Amino acid sequence: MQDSKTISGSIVHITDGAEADARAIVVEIEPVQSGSGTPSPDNVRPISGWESVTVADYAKNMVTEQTNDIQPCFIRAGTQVIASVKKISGDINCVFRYFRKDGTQIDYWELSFEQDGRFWRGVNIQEDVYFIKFDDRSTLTITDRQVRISGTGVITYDPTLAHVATTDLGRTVYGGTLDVVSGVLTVDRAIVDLGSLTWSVLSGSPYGNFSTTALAQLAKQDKTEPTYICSAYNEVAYNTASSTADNYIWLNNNKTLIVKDTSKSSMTAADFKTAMNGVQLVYELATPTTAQLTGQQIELLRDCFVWADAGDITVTYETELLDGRFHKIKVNDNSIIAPNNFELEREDVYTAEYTTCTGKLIADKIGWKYADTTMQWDTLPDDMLAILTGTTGAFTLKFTDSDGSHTENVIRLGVRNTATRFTDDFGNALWRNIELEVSFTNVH
Amino acid sequence: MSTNIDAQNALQIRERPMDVYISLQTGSTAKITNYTVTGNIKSDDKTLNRSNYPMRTLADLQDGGFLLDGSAVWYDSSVTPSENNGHLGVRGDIGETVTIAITADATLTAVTVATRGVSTITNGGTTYTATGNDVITINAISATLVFTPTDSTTRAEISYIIPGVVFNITNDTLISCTLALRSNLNVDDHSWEESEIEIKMYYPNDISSSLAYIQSDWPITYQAGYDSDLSDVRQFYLSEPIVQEAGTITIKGVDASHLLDAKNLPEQWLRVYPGNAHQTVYSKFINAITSAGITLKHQQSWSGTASGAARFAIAPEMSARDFVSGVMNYTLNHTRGATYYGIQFVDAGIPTVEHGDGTTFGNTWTINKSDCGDWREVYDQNIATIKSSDSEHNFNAVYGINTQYAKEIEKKDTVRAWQIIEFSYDGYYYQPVLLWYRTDSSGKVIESGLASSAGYISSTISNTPSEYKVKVNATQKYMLYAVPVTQNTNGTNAFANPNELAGVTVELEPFVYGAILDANGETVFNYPSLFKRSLRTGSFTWKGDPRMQPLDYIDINNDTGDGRGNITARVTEVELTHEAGGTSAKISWREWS
Repeated sequence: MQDSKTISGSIVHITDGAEADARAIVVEIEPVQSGSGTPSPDNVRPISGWESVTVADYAKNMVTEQTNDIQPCFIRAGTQVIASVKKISGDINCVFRYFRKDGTQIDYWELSFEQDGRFWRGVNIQEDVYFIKFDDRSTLTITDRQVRISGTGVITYDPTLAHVATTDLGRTVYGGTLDVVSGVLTVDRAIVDLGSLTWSVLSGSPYGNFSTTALAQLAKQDKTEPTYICSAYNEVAYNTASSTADNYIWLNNNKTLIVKDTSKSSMTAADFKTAMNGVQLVYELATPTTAQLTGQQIELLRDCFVWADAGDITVTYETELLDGRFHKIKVNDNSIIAPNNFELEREDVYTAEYTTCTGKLIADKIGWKYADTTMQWDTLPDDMLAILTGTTGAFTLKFTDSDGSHTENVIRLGVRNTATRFTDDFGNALWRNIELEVSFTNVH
Repeated sequence: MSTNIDAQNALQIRERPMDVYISLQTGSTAKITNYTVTGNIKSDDKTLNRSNYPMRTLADLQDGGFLLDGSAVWYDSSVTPSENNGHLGVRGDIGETVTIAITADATLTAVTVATRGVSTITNGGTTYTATGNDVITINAISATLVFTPTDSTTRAEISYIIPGVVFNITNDTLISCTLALRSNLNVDDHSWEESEIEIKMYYPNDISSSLAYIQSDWPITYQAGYDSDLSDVRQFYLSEPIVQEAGTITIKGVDASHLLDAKNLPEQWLRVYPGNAHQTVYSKFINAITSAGITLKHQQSWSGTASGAARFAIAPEMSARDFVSGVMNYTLNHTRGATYYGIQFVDAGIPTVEHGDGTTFGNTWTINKSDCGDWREVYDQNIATIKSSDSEHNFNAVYGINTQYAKEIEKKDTVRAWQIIEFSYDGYYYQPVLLWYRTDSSGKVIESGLASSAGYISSTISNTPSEYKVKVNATQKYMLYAVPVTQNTNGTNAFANPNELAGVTVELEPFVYGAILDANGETVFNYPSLFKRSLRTGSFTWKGDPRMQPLDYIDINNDTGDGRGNITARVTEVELTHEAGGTSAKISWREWS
């Protein structure tokens, strides 16, 4: 049984994956409200949902060679980026644009430096970039787009786009979660057109003009936080309804939806209903619903970024197989169970050693190596013992240490077993008390 | 982590390997006359023959881009290639092979190529794995080299292709490097062996056939330390054929002092004024070194004003090495009061001449005895007497002229009055003496005389070490001689140790015949000063420091805290070893107080 981990965030960075399929990638679907500012009849901010969700995992630098379209990527703030375009014909001025996660443009560069038949420019990225795009100008034919990234030290450009999976939701979803792996869609928000509801005039209240109980059975209420958003009214919580403010919507203690819009005080309920046509309200359901969609296998890299176009995600994944302390090691790329208490010690490597007249050791430290060790197993299956006994002389040993995965060249000094072969309850051939003595040759 | 040599040496365990940089550059009689570059080429600034131009690092999108730390510059073909500006060399298109055909004016045994982003270099049917600096065997007048980039995202860049073999060795390829840096402070055998370097480097490509053609004396440079704190560059000269066996190349070299053996100094006439006696000897000392072909890297100046009556001495014919070591041996201990008159030459790859009061000589190292291994001490027998092996030549001789040893330099049969006679000769330390003579009709000399004593030399026009001009004031037949000086036999034949300890008698050949005195009346070549030389010598193993020179001073701290047992010594030999990333040294010393 493998260990697993769960990480959440807008971008999930996995560094100890088992290079196996993700166990779960749960995407939080949130409604998207366009525009800015406080919604009001004069500042209508339409609300949209999601009809599909795309999940991708990338190697460290999530940038690929680009087409003309907006392409997903992830470039962390602080990264230095060089964009270039190879000109085939026409005038210069190609524009490289880069965008936030919500699709708004952060900035753009005109690639104005010509060298070597290319136009290029390098800029420090100040804010996380989620999309990039090259614009063609009308007189320019451009091919061979590239964006490359330099770190401040080692160049880490890796164009690997590991996997992209898009799940069709089969409906428009305004809130909930989707486990892309299992295909389980949980919908916890719904949208309603306020013009479709039956409204009553609320007389004498300083906190509203019109009310409806149409959502009383459907909506979930939180008395401190609004669980709904509206395209034309400012949503407020139960305890923040105001006698002086105007143009807001709230759900009272009895889940009665109340609108305060003093400009419509003289309207009848029927006129108000008509006026509410097209006004959207997304509310949290008292009882979420679930649907089973088609699940997808997403193979994760050992070190990768995972993100979705919909919202924050929670990824549950198998951790590195080669954690020697708990799991497995690889001998010549063949996995076997890790030895008992497999914790390797590191020792400094000295050269130019001599001993002084007072017995002190003087030397140069040229690096470190893993100390020679004897690996012990209480029990090994027949096939794994064959891997050990099949080693001759030098071989590679792959394992995970406290600072990551390591592949070391080792020399087999001896292998021992007590020839106590037995068969377990399931008919598997097992061996007991195995020991393998190895010497590590790599110096770091 | 400090990368300062002193800071690292202060640690019991140095925290990182010392960086070692070694370079050997050989030449070739054949010259490459034409480079023809083909393939998909991005740039070629026609400087493939320039091994001293560094490759510019360009803001280039190959191989994952470039660092934005200022190390990369924009491509600019208008920048003139130079040592300072660097050059573009030949750069292929990304992922494309580059082909360069070379033609020489004679058979090329080998060329050395410097590359970046190249995986293999092919010459005909032979493919070499590129390491960045590779020797390619040619054995033809022309060759076509194909450079394959590392991968499809990399640009093959060729900095230079030059005749001969160039090795730039670093820790990446160095197996071991051993330096024996030598001087000598023995009393009776004061000459020293040349310093040596032996390098073993890893080089998997078999180039043994190219190495076989390499002649001696190509320069080898050595430098070690840490990138921010490197030793002075030492220069050695290839002394033995380079050998390649089982992927290991062995290179051996010696320092420039080996040239002293080949330079023979004829018998010399030393004319020294007491006022600048030491300075004059220092000048002749430097002259002997430089005339052997050694270029001094450091030369301490020393000037003085001639005064007093000139004193003379004869230095017998000897090698420049014997002259240099003799001057050092008989001056290094020479003190009068607080004044020190030592003269020294140390090569060990950094030819240096110095003089002075003892504090100006090289470095002074403080070493704790508790940091030393393999501690050994040896005490010679006490020197009770120093005597000459030649009873006619005592040490304290004064000069005289003995015409029977006159050497004919040039015969002038028809010298007119007031004619200027110019002559030159190797034995420039001889005093020129003009003899006149008359002959009868059969050529028999019927009258002769010493021109100077007869007043025939009216003046000396110039008096440089290698040329004299004299003028005679009467028409005569003359013979021009150089007349060596000899000495009378006053003075003593031996010196006794004033400490009167029992010991041995050391017999020495006189270094020069005749006494050269300074303004204090002291002999410049001071034999009794040898008694001051300690009989205590020793050796120990230490961490090693690439800056340490022979004849440096070492204060060896005995760690008692009260100074007891401390030793002040001078280094007679440093055997410095870099091997497997480590550095250590065996240091031989002679006590020097």
